Amino acid sequence: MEEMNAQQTASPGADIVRLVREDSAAARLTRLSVLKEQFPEMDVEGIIAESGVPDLKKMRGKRDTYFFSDQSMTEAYAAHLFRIEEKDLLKLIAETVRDESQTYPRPTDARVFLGAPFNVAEHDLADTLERLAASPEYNDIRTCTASNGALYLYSSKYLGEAYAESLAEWMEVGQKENP
Amino acid sequence: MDELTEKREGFLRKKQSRRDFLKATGISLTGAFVALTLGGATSVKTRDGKDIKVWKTPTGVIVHDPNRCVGCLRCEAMCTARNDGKVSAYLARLKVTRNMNYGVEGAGSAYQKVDGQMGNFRIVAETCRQCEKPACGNACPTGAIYADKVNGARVVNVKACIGCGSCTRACPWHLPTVDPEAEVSTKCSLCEGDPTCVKSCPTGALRYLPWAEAEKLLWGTDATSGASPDA
Amino acid sequence: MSTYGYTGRILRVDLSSGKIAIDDTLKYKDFIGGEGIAMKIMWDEVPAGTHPFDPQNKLIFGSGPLCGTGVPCSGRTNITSLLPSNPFYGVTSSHMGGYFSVAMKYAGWDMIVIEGKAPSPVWLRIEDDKVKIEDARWMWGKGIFDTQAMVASFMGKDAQVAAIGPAGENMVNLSVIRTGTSHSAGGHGGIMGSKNLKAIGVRGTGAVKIAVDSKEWLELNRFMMSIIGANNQHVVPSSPQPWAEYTDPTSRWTARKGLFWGAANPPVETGECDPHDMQSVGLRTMKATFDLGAGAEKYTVRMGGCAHCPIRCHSQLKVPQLERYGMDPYVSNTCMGWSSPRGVMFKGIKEFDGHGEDSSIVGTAIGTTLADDLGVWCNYGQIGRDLNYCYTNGVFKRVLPAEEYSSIRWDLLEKGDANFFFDFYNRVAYKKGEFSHIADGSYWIAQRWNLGDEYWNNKDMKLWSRLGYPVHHSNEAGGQVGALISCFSNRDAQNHSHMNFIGAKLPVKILKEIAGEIWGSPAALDAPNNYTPMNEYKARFVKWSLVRTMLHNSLTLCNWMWPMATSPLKERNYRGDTSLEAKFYSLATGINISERELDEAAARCFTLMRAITVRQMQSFDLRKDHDQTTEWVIHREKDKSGNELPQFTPGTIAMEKEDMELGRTLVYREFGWDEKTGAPTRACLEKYGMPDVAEELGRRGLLPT
Repeated sequence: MEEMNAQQTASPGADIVRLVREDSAAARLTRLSVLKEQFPEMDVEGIIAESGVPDLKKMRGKRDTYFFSDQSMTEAYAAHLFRIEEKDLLKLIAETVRDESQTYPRPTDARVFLGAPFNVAEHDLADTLERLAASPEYNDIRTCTASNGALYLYSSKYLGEAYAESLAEWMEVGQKENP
Repeated sequence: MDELTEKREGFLRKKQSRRDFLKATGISLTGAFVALTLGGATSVKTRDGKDIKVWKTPTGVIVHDPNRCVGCLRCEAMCTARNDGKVSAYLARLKVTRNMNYGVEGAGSAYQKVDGQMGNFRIVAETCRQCEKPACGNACPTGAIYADKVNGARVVNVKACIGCGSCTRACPWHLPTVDPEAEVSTKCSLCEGDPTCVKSCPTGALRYLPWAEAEKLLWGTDATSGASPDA
Repeated sequence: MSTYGYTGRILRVDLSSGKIAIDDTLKYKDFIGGEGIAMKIMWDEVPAGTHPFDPQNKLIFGSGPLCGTGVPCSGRTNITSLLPSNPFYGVTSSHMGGYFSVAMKYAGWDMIVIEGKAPSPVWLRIEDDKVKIEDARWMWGKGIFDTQAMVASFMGKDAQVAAIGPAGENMVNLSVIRTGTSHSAGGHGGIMGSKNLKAIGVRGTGAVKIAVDSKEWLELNRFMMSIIGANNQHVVPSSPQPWAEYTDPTSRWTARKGLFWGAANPPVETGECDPHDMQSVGLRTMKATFDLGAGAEKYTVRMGGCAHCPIRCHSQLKVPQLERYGMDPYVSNTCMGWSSPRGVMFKGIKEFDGHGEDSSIVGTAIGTTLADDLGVWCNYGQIGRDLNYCYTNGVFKRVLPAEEYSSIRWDLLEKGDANFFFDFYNRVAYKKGEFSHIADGSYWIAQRWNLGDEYWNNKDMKLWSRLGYPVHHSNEAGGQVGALISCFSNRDAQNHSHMNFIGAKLPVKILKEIAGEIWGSPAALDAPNNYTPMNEYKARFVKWSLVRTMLHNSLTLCNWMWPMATSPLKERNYRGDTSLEAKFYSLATGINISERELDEAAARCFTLMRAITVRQMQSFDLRKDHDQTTEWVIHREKDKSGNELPQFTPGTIAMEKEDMELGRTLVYREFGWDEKTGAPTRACLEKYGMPDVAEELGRRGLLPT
C-alpha cells in the first residue's frame, strides 16, 4: 500500500483499474465494498464506469457488487466466482446445472462442486442437494445415477430424463470403457 | 568407464571459476598488454611470456532440468530446423536423445534402476555450458570459435571452420558436432540470445538463465542439471 | 528428385537369403508414405492366400515424410502386414509411438520391409547405412524390456529398439511389437516371431531435410503449437480455469493448480496451463490420475510419450510395491495399456497382498508390466471380455480338460487378487493348454469353442463385427459416423479423426457450426446419444475420417492428436485448421499439394486397402461379406424401466438396419465405389491412378459388374 501511495503520478482511477486487474490475474473477483474501504472518499463505481476501460466488467449481487477484468478471466469463470461469493449454495448449484444442461448440453457431475473453484464441503453438498429437491424454485433440477453409482444433476428445462441418464452413463462409464 | 565419462569427470574435478583459474596458474593480468582482440576473446600476453586467451563471460546459458524434461525432443528438432535447415538429433546443439533411454552410463544390467526413459524416467540432457575457458575454442586450430560480442556465446565462424572435429574431441561432453554434410561444427550459439530450444520446450524444463544463476545449477555440488553425473 | 521430408530410401531385408537391398521411396510417392506405401507393397508383393506366418508375408515398418521433421505429434511408426487374428488374414496396420520411426529417418530409411524367414533367431542392426543381421539365439525367450537393453548395449545407448516378447516368439495371434517403455503395436508380434526376428535396433546420425527456409518451417510449427489442445485434441480443461470459457470433467486437459507429478523430485505442479503459455503445453495432460484415479498422483514421476510430441499422454509411475514381485518399480502406459489388464480382472481388483486402497493401482501396474514384457495384445480390450464370457457362461468348463480347468487360479480372479495376472499372461504368452487359445482372437475362439450367435450378439461383449473385432469409437461416437467408420477395417477401426472432433469437449452448438464449415452442413454432427437418421453430410464426415486416419498413418502423424479441426482459442472461435497436414507436407517436401489433393491421395491408399481386402476375401460383395455389424448394434435398447427406446430418440445409441445400409451406400458413393457392393470399380480404380489393380481384380473376376 505504501508503494502505491508513493506513485504520485497514477490517478485514483488508474489505481482502481490496476487493483481489479491484479485481482483477476490472481483468479479473484474484486468486491465493491473492499474498493470503497480503500478509496473512502471516492465514487468508485462512477470512476470505473467513466474510466472507459473495456476489459472491466461488473456483476451486481445481493451481497455485494463485483468487478473483474476479462483480460485474465473469462465471464464463465467470473460467474462461478460470483455465485461462490454470493454464498447461496442452492443457487450456485442450480444455476451451474442449468447452464451446463443448456450449453453443452450435459448433466453435471455432482463431484464437480467438491473441487476448485467451488470447494463445497461434502456434508454441505449432501445437505444442499436435499434442500434443492424440496425447493419449488428449483424443481427443474433433477438427479440421475450412472451404473457405477455416480450422481449427476440436470435441469429438466433442457434435458429429458432418458437422455440425461444416457449422457451420465456415457460420461461416467462409457468413456472409460472406450478410451 | 568409457573415455568420454573419464574425460568429463576429470573436467568436473577441475571445474573452477575464472578467478580460481587465474589464481591457480599464478597469472596476474596486471601489467599484461592486449595483443589481439577477436570477437569477445582476448589474447593476453602475461609478464612471464605466456599467451593465454581470456574469454568474455557469456551473459546467459541454457540449463536443463531432468525433473521436468519429458523427452519430447522438440528442443533438438527445432534447434536443428533453425540452425541447419534440417532436423536431426545428432547435430543438435544440446543432446537429449543421447542419454534419454539409458542415462549417461548407457544400457547395463541395472538399467531398470538408473537414469533414463527405460530406467527411473529421469532424463539427463547435456547443454553447452558456454564454458569460462572453452575447451572447444581453445582447441580450435583455426580460431574459428569466438565469443559473441553481444551475449558472449562461444560461436563458430563457419567460414573459418574446417570441420576437423578438434572442438568435439576437446569438449568434455563432446557437444560440438561436425555436420558431415556441411563439414562445419554445429555448436550452440544461444540463437542470438533467444534460444530456440528454450522456446520450444513444452514443460519449461529448459531455461535460459543469467550466468551467475546458471553457474550454481551447472557446476554446484547440488547441481540439478546434467552437469553433475551423480546428481 | 528431391529428398526433402523423405529420405528417399526403403530398406529391404530378406531374412531367408540374408540379402539386404535398397529401394527408392519416391517411386511410391503417390501413396504418400507409411501405411499408404505399405499397402502398395502388400498389393504388389504379397500374393492372395498367403498365411500371416508364411515367409512370403511381409512386415513393413513405415515412417512418413513428416516423421523426423519436428512437426508436433509426428513420432509414430506404422506397421503393416497380414493379421493372424482376422478370419481371412486381412491386411491391417498396427502402430506404435515412441522414437523408433524418427530414428529410422535419421538413419536414412523411410521404410523397412522384412520378408522371408531366418533359419535361426536373429536381430536386425541398423546403423545409418550399415545394416547387419545378427545372431539372437541368446536373446530368444527374453522379455521385451531386457531385449531392448541388450540391443542397446550392443549398439549404443541412443539406439531405438522394436522387439517381441515370448508371445510374439510363440506366434500368439494376439501379440505385440513394442518399442520404448510402453509403445505397442498390436497384432503383428507373431509375424516377427514367425520370421525368427527378435528385434530391430536403429541408430541414425543423419538428418531429415526441410525444403523451405527454416523461418517458414518454424513459423508453421509455432502456429500448430498455438492451436494444439490436450491428448485427443481435447480443447477445454477438465475443471474451471480462469482463462477458460468452457469446462468438461471428462476432458484429458486435466492440469490444474494443486495437481502434481507427485513422485517427481521435487514434485512438479501441472497448474493452470493457459493455452497461450507454450511452456506448459506438456503439462496439460495429466494422464495418470485420468486413467488410474486420484491415488496415482503420488506415484507419478512424470508424463512421457513420443518424439516431437508436446502432448505427453503416457503416465510414468514409480510403484515401489512392484519390487515385491521382482518387477521394475518404474512402469509406464496409457489408455488401453492400463485398462486392458483391468478388463482381464473383470470382477475388479480388490484389496490384495496388503496393498490397501492402492491395490487397484498396484494390480493394474502388475498386469501392464506382464503384458508389455511378454508382449501380449488385448485386441483393444476384447481379451478381457472374451475371458469374462467364456468363464461366466461355462465355456471353459465345457472345452478345457478338467485337469487344466482346475489348475487355473479362478479363486484369485474371483477374489479380485491381481496375482491372477501371473497365471493368465503366462498361459497366454507360452501357449499353455487349451485355455491359451483365448489369445487366438474372437473369430477363432468362436469357431473353436462354438460360441454361436449369443456370443456375437451380446451387447456387453461389444463385438462390432463377425470378423472378430470390437467397438473402437463406433456408434457411441457420432451415431452412424462412428458406426460406419467401424465397418471398413480388418481389425478395430483405430480411428480418431472423428473422435477427436466429436470429443473435443466444446458445446455441441460450436461443434455443429464447425462441422458445417468442414462437411457442408451442421447435420454432419448430432449431439451425443441423440441421433438423427443418416444423411450425406455424415457420409462426408465418415469418408473424411477414414481418409485422414490413412493420411496420418502415412505421413506419419499421430491420429490420437491429429487432425486439428478445433483449437482451445476463443479468439479463433475455437476453430483449428484442417489444412495443416497439406501445408506441412508442402513445406517439408517441396512438393506443393493442396488439402483436397492430399486427401485424394489418402483416399487412393484407402481404396487400395479395400482392393486388397477384395482379393483376400475373394469376394467383391463387401457390403454383405465384410461391412456388416453384429446384431446388437441395430437392435433397440431399453431404458432403465425396461421400456424400448426407439432409434433416433434421445438417450439411445442403437442404429437401425435400413438406415445403416443407406449409410453404407452414401459412403460408397463418396469414395466412388460400387454403391451396391461397396467394392472399388474399374472406373474408380482408374480414377485413382491404379489401372493395374483394376486389371488384376478384373482378371480374377473380382470387379463389380
